[in-house]
Amino acid sequence: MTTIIQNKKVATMALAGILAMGAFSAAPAFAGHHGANSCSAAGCSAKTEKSSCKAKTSCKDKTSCKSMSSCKDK
Amino acid sequence: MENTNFPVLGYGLGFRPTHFPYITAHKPDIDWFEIISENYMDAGGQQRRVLDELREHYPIVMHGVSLSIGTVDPLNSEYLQKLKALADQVQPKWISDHLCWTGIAHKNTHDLLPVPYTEEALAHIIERIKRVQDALGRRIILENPSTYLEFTASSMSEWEFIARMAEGADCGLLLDVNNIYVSCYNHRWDPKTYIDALPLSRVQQIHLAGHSNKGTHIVDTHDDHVIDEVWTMYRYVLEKGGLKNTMVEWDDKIPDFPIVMEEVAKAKHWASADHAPTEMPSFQSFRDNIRPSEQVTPYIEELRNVQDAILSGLSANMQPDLRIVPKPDFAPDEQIQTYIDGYRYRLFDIIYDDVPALLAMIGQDAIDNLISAYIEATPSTHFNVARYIEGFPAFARDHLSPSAYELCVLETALSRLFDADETVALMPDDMAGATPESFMDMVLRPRAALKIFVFSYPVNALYQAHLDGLELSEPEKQPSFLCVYRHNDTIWRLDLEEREYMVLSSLFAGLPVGEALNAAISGGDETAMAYIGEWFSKWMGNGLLASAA
Repeated sequence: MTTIIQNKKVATMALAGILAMGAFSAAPAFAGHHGANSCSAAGCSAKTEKSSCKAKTSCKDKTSCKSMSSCKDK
Repeated sequence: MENTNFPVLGYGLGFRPTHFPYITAHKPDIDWFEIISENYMDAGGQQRRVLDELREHYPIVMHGVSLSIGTVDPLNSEYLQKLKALADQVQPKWISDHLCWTGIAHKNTHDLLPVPYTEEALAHIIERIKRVQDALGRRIILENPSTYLEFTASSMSEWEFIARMAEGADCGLLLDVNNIYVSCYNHRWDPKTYIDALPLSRVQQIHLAGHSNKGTHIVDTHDDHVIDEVWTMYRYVLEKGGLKNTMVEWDDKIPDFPIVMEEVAKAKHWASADHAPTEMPSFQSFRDNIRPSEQVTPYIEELRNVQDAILSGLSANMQPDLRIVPKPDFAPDEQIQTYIDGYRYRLFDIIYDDVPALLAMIGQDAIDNLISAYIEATPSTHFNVARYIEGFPAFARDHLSPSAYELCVLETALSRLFDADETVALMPDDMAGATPESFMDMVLRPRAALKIFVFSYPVNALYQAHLDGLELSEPEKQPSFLCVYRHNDTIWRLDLEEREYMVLSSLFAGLPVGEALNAAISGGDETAMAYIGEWFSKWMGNGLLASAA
């Protein structure tokens, strides 16, 4: 009985927390990103763009050529 | 079968995400866009949303790179199901891929590899095209490849093979005029002979692109303007076959959208000009284009030999002097080496680009050696090359310090979050009417693009130090707890407290709220109660929880 009462008390606090919805406090994972505005839905972040290009360039058009030189220099 | 007659759309472009802001803002006068199917088949989130918006304004066609119609493996049912599902959603005007294979024995080289042009290969590919068309419920169109080697086993020309393939399978053709130029240059074929032999009535679409001329051979890089000789060939195709749906591809060193649109304008110009910009190109033939096979090699053996050379990095493994037609200044081993190098550089870049902090921590030589060793030991197996990095941390673990390994785990997770499905964040309004009693029975789901970690080292701090441009050194051992997730198209990192992590891991394991909380406050941990409201508020504010809708 004690546990149930305690759980209800905790659940009340948790639900209150959800309804209060706190501030955004996470940090972006990539340099140059400053929140959602930097890439929005426009597909403009370099990271996202590169990711979306992977399948295409890797298979389609010998990105390896560009990458070849960049890798050889590495 | 549906789509027996393909529509006439006009002049299109290969859609590249970098152009999306311009397209959204200017709604350019372009008749249609071609998307790369694989970029959307195994990915959610922003990419799919961009595609949805694009197709509101433009007709879409789907162009694949991983059907691998020439492989001897069974048809990839996962690939076909995802391709069909995407087609059902996108409703493309048509679906295309390439006359090629990408790997056998469930390996994937992520390249468009050439097939030997033999009767056995022709029968095999025709049969597979028919099965694909049956599975998709529509006719497909296949593109002539750019190739860098030619098999001695071939008993017919590429153009004869393509013509017979199209007729035998009753499929359409995507004529890449630049590919004809590239292959004719590389193999010293005659472009006019090639084009004249094709059933142009089956050509539903034309590709145009730039390339890189290395002197001894041309690489199909799609990173430059279309050259005049290719415009001449394009015009010749239209003269013989009538106007065709025409599209420009530009995949590397991608310029601003107006520059690419200028190429489309050139296509319109040369389609109606009264003269060609150059003479029809001709490459000195040093032999008959058809080289009768001197030995009959089973198709599967030819493919196995090529793949062995590519995966091992040893051109000698395929006996190139026996199997590849020699070219002036472009020896058989150099021809197969083009594919060998491409495979390694391609996979290298896939990983290298995604682990910058690890690079900063362990240095250039160490990262080069580590990635190279992974590639040697680990063939890619999935059609989505972005997945290749997933096995990297496990491989690297024995070669890295514990903290560097955990940094590798974090960077790999960050990379893969881009492709996770899109989910909507839970909002307070979604909880309207909830009571403490009903809330205890609820199951809260995480966003699909989310992972939580417990590390032995302060990995997030290490990663942030890299972003801040600081020199990375081995950190002191200190447990840390982290949530990484995608929200509003950005990847975020959120530090967690240990007890907070415990509650979240219980919630995300599927426990109802009451049970998850009970686990957190078991033993009468009254102090935890003080933070419960704060944690839920923080998770909501950062968009960690998914709406049930």
